Amino acid sequence: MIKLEKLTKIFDSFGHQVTAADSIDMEVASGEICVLLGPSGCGKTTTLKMVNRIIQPTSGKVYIHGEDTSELNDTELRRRIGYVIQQIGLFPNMTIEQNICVVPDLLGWPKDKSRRRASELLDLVALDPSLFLKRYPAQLSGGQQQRVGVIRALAADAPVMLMDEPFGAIDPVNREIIQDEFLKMQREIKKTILFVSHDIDEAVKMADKIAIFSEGKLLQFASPNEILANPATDFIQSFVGADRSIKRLQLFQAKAAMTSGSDNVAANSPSISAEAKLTDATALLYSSNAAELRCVDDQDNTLGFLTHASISAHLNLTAQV
Amino acid sequence: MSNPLVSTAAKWAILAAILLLFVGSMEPGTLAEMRYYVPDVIYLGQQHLELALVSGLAAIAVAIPLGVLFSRPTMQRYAEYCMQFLNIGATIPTLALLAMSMAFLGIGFIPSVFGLFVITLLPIARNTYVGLQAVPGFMHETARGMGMSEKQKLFRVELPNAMSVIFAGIRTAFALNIGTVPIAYLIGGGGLGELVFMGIRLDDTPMMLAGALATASIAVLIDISLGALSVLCIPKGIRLSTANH
Repeated sequence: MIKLEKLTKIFDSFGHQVTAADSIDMEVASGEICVLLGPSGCGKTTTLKMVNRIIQPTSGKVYIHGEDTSELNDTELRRRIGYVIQQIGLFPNMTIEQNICVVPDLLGWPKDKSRRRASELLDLVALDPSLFLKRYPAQLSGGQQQRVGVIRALAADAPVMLMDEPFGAIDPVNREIIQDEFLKMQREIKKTILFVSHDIDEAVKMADKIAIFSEGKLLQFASPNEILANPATDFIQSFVGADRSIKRLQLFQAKAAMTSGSDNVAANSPSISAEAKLTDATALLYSSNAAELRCVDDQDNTLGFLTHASISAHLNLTAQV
Repeated sequence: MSNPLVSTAAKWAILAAILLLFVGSMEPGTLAEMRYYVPDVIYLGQQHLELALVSGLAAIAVAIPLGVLFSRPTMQRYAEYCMQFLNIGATIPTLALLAMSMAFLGIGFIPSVFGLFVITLLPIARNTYVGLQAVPGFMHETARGMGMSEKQKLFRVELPNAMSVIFAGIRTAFALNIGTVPIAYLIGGGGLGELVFMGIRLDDTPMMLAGALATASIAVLIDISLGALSVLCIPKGIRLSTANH
């Protein structure tokens, strides 16, 4: 669990006081990904970097698992927090193995334990340890480097991770792949993650909670569905985009919106997996020009039906607080 | 070039061709007369090497910590002024520097070493400073963010990443140093300058050439050994990443 309490940063810029983060209060539950979202200069990165004190807070407190981090010294605190930045920051003078083992080595782990850990982590992101352990960052592609950057932050098994636009420098196709890989990994490792992004689509995809920032203030802190369904201010409404209800479709599976019975059952209606995202179901509904879709399980048994009406009913239902 | 073996062979071939041209253009008999100075070359060559190595190693020992110190955040404000000060030191003509060094320290080995030390200092200190400055900000941030202390960051991240620039400085400095050593003869430092200057005075070309060729050979040999040493000192990953760009 990460808890921020009245966290404030005031920069002194040529005699002017600039409030980069204004009394931020926030609590992220264990095992959740919280995406800090907003335009550049909104204070999201400042807030993130105050957690591991890369930026010293002017006032306010950070608690990690209930422990007041101001009582820890800087290096002690940082070794307990995984840190991933956009530029990756693999050390070019070290092999992949040495890069992954930086924090375990700092913590004084036995060599065989940390080296074994490095192999396990490479396996986790499908990079063959026998090939990659002894390579140098310069010998890896951008996507491979990014994967190593992420697993390096996991090396010492810190329960908390800070990720500063970690997938920002990757091309869109590979970004999708790495995001999916990361979500799959997160389901197993269940870290508590603060994740900075300026991309609403990335936020909706990755987040359990989204924190929207503007001009140093935390405007709204809620689930992606809640932010998209009920944006708290005009700014958020325009920031998330006019297509926010379409964005909401990817938050639900087809089976969530299906109805059990239909009066005019058409056995030849197009079918879609009950596990598919509502986005895909809606797309099929429009492209096939059918009145309804059959939701099926993997044995092609019909579980229920999707219609325009049932989808909008579901969206309306879930928009209620 | 694609094949390192071919490129090395080509370098040596060019060097040999220049040497042949040079020998061919000499008056007949010069080579035989030069042979007469071989014992002098060996004796003075040792002095020469001693002057270069003592002053050069002392300069490395002082300049690298100096460059590191200038690059620390607390020194950042004064770093450029200090560098300018060293720059001014480097603009003083070598001869004037040795003369001044003689005025304070007398004649002989010590003032010569001191003069050479001052000349060698700047390129190493500047390259150390510049090399450390060139380590990107995000690398510092990652190192700090992972929980390295300032000292760990310096030795594990900054210095290894700056090593190729630092080594370039050391090679420049040593080339400068060895080329200057003959002048140390003028303040009683000895070395191969003795043959060069005496040869000029006495209009004895073989004597002068014996000194000059030996000086050039020492410079080339030192540079080659420094090149070999740099392969050991610059981390493999850095060499790979500079080769890629």
